[in-house]
Amino acid sequence: MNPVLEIDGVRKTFPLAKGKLEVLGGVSQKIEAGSFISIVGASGCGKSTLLRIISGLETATEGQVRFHGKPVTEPTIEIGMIFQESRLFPWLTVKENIRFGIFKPSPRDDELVREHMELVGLSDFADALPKQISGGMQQRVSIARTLINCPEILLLDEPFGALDALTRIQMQKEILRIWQAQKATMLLVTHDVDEAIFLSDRIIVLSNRPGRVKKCIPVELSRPRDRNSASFIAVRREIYQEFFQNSDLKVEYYI
Amino acid sequence: MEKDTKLTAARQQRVSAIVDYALLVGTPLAILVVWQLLGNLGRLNLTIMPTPFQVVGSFASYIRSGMLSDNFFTSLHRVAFGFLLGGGSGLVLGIMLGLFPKFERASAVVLGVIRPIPMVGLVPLFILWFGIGELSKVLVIAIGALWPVLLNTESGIRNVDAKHLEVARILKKDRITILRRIILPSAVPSLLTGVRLGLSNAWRGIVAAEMVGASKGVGYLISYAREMSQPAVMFMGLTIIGVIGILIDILLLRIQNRMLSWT
Repeated sequence: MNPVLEIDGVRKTFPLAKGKLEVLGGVSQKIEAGSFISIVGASGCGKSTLLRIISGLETATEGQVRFHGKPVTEPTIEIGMIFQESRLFPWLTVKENIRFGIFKPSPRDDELVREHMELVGLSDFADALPKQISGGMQQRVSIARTLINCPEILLLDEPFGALDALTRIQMQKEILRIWQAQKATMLLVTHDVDEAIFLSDRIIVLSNRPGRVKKCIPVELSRPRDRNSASFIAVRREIYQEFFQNSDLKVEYYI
Repeated sequence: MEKDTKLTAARQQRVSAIVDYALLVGTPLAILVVWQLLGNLGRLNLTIMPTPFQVVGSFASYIRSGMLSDNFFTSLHRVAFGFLLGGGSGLVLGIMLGLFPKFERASAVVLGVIRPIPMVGLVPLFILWFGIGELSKVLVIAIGALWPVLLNTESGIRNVDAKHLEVARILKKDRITILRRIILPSAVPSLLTGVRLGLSNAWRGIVAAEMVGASKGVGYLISYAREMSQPAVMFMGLTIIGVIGILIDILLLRIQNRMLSWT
């Protein structure tokens, strides 16, 4: 086991106008290099907050996150993040947006940009403006922009939440392909249970606020995974069981 | 048949376009015609209300004598200088107020109290301080340009999308890069709106600026025409202000649209 990331007793409390709001009640996990981990939970369980703490955008009230043994206190280029919105700069073209991501300018930059446009399948749209491309394509530009620095860890905060169901499935396949090509460690936050099962090596289920690890479910199916196979459905049932306490309720529908 | 309905649809569109154009151009023409007719029929008090032909006559004589371009360009120069001075200051101040909250707090009261004072109200003050020369006139116009540029620039800077700033943090961009490549481009739409309003105000201020102590200019012509009971000249002056004003606005709107093709 080679944990590239250690989440150690992370708690997060936000001060409110009156009193405080405990969003994370103590989360500990070890993340191995090169793995694909998903964090699922209901709205408000703190999963996005956890991701933001790992990214360095926010700090934990208690506990710490360690990257290669060193505590994370601020963002680092080795840990990239993709948000639910593409957050592209509307005044820059696809090519320029991706180029903006580059941390250390080098003579290879043009080539790098071209490679990453190809990686996400947008070579034909190099000079398009964000307003001219679809939501899924914008998100792909965002992925290219983040990947251009070859981060060791990629954090994804509900990256496909704003996309329609069909595009979402397409993007899940894309992200799988990119992961297998880049070999980064992926940490995905999602409320889409099927997405988590389709993509991950392990699924961390967070309880409702304050978020704590309720269960860790390894997914040992070979990829590409069939969403209708018995083992897939079994994992889905196991996860839904965590959310629907009533055990005689047989979950037969999707949410 | 489908071909017929397509033809009718295209024809309908053309008809509606012609009607729009007719309304656009026809209404002002109709007004002018009625106005002139009223004059011909003797229904107008010509000492206070000239006919369109009389106004055209004033234009003709002023153009022939070269006085029109003389007065016009005098005013234009004042507006240009005033706009550059006021707009430039507004730009710098707006950026500083937007970027530095402490500076904003420090100047909030002073700026807040000065802002409601109209250009016209400042004319006596500037005359007191700077006399009745060019400086006072340019300053009055500058004040008109200052406020819209300042307020819109400040707002544009302050309202940068926090989500974009987070992306910059994640990508470890330094502060100069963030200012140059995120904050300023984000602020450009507001900035351009401010410039457009500022220039419009600056041009509008020409009458107030030239009210006292001017010997040339479009605003001066209007005051002079009142004193000399020459309503046609007055209308000429007002027409110039109106027409140039709208031309400036249209021009700036075009520039704005071209620069903001990404929105």
